[in-house]
Amino acid sequence: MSHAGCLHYDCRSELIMSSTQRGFGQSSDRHLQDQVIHYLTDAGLRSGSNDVDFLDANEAERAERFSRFLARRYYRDRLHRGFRYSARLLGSEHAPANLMETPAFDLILKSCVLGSLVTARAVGDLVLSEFEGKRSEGWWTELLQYEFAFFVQLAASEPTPASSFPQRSLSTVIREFQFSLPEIFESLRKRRVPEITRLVSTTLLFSRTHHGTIYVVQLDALACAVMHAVNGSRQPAEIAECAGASQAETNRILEDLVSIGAVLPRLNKAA
Amino acid sequence: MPQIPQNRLSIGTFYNPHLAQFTLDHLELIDHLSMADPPAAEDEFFPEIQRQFPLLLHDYLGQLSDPLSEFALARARELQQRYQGPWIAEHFQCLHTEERARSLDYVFPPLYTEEFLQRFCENAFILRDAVSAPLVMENIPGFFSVRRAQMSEAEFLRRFFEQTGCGFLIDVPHTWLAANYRGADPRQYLEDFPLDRVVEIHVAGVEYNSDLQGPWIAPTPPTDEILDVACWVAERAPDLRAVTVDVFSPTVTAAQLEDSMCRTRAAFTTTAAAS
Repeated sequence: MSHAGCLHYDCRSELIMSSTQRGFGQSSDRHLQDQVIHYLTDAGLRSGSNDVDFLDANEAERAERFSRFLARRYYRDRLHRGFRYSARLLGSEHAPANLMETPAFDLILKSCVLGSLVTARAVGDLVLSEFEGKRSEGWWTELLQYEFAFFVQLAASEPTPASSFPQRSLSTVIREFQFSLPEIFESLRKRRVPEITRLVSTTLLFSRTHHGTIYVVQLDALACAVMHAVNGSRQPAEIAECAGASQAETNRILEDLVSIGAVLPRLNKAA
Repeated sequence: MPQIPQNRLSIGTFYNPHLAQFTLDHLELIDHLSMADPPAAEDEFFPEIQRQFPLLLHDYLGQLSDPLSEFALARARELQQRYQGPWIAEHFQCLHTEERARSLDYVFPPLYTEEFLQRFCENAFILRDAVSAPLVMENIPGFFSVRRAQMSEAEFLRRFFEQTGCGFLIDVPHTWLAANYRGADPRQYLEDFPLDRVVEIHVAGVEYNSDLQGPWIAPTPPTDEILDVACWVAERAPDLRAVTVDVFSPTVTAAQLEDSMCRTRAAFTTTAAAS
């Protein structure tokens, strides 16, 4: 008989507790569900040497397939949203999201941790390596770099560990651009190929909040200095000193950076 | 603001912003719209959409396996105040870890255990009270078995609805997949489901997925088989108010949506005429 069970519920008696066994188990079912979620999101936990007691071999093989399905779906969606302008220029047949069906992405799947910064960067790097040479205009590389940074915010939901110091959120990206990005986007929104030659040096910060709202903001010199001074081992007074700003200015900038998810505030010791 | 009709079945779909003009041009095909995402601020069509269609809140409000945050409850309340639908919907799902460090970013069922049943009941009451609207809950298929289930999906759902009085939003493709992977007939699989609690039905297509090596949910028109099962459910659901074509994707085309709506309307018109 072919395997019939694929649901959490399975009619095979060995997998279902009898009514006398019901009730809350010794370990929380919620905790077990977390283990299942970790298992599905982390390829390392599913590697051959790591048997888990909540799946038999056949179900583990199905879970592996489901994990691959989840990862391909997740990154396809993020690539679709993150690289939408370059996709528009390249045409749907050559869009970055199509990389999900290539051997190069299958290779990433082998070490994929869904939602992690490392995997987001690996997928983004794959796009850059495949598409940077597709057009020759000077702004093309910057458009891809912009979309890469935006994609990282979409795809990296890994929380930043709390600390007693203010620190940069893991996915925050700061990047300098030379071309006028607003002009580039205006052309692309009108479905025209940008004809941009004007150079306007800009520093942009890309961040996401705990609730998943993504911000792209332009940093002035002072905010840039504060942001660079946030290194995870300085208290606000030291950040102010390092940035060459007053404490009041530094606190205001840090508050703004915290509100857009770029900086994680220090843990309140009293809490 | 338009309301779901009281005297007949409402047949609608999800709001796909890229198909807003098509949606407004086909009032004869679409009775209501489910909202999976809030409208974008720059969505120029939405004010007219809201004037023309009853809206059903079907956003991700939070997973009821865990207590919802004040932020989540306030957001749900705000969305419902905006849409003014006759009910709000959530799913039998547990897709992120308790401390939220990891998420599957996709619907995923909880373990069907006493502990999870209690969690879902408690949190359903809280959500319903916070939003001040009836709550309907949608079934979610799994793809593999975990050695901890204490009851069947059907028992879990039946006891949840008995304890909470919530309505059942039955997603027929989900049950079709569940039955398919168990090698069971969908109607047989549904025999123990609390169909008397069904308020809304979802229909959609399924197609082969190479990772899963079998069929899975897809933004394609519902198949005849799915529609047959949906009509079979409808005949056993005295409180049924709405049928929704569950397609929400930037890739769906106007032609696909029109085909889906026509097929669904035809199937349910035939059923209504025969009953």
